[in-house]
Amino acid sequence: MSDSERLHDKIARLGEDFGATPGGWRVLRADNPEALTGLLLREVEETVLTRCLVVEGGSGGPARIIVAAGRILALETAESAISGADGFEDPGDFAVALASALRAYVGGQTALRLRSERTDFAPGPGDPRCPAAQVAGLLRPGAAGGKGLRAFADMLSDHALAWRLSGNGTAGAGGDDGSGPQDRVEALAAYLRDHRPDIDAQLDVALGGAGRPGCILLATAGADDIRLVCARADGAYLAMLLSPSAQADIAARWSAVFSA
Amino acid sequence: MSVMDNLDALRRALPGCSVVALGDLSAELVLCASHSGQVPQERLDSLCAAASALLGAPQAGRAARLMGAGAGRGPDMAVVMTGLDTRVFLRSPVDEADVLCCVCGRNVDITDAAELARSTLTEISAQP
Repeated sequence: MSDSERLHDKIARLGEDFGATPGGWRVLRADNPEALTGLLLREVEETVLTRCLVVEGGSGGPARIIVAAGRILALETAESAISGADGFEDPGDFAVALASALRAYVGGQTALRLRSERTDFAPGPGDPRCPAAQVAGLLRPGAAGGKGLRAFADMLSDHALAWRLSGNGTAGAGGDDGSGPQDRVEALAAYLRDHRPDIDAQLDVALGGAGRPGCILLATAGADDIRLVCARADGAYLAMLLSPSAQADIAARWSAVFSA
Repeated sequence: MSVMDNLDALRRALPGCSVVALGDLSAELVLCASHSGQVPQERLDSLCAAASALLGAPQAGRAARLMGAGAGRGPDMAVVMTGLDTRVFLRSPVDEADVLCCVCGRNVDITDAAELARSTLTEISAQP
């Protein structure tokens, strides 16, 4: 059976259609305003086509964020109107202005309403387009990098069979760090060293953006019941073999160190 | 109970869950999904692309060997922690191309989520 025939059969079996087009209002909720801003920026990052994200619930009325390909082209709130056409000499200044305006708009809120609509906004050919991740980086309370990954590894140490940390700021005296039986630490080190481009590519797809900090856990049935964790933050990388007992609350531990 | 009923029930059962999607790994295609509010198609597509990168790519096989899996075996579960949410991807034990993608709250209990998702996959696979 060909792939298309197999899919046709599967879709026919499922017998369901579903609409997934822009249009309706959605509610973003988070524990705190910083996380809420992170959710909003995640929406920006995941918006591929040129769209206006209309946001309600923040300071002074609705905000309009013009977005394309995960980048902000313009932002308009009751208090400020910022566009790449404003003549920023340094694209970084555009990001700072956007971060400042977004922080002011979200204020102390923990929920916002959001909908996406079409727009005919056309940026100038040389106008800066600010990646959502750049704004998120400015708003994140201190990049954790290798120290954050080390803190995360320490949290899981009771369940860790071995771990290896490499890259930016991973050891106080310089160099890499690790713990566990030598053969396993060496295997993890080789994994991080020999397959870094593949690991980055996998993390980029899984996390929805190049260079984003994040963590993946992988499990294979029957594979000695060992979990593999691979994490990245600000140029540092962690690979860790864990027992399944660490699995239940690993997400809470990650967000305790790296919540946006 | 229809497939959509299964997906809706799973979404309601998982804390903070906004999307549950059933996809096909080899085609990187979401076949049906339950979600709160409207979700753009490109976001569903990116979920399936992530599932494929984590569970289906050669890189996944290398990762599985580190865990002691035999040659040719890839992971059957992947969890992605972003700090904003936690995404659970589970491959069907019946049809290796079927994958369930769940976008959950960031502090979700992975063990509980995986058990619920596995049960849902089993129910879906058992349907005629």
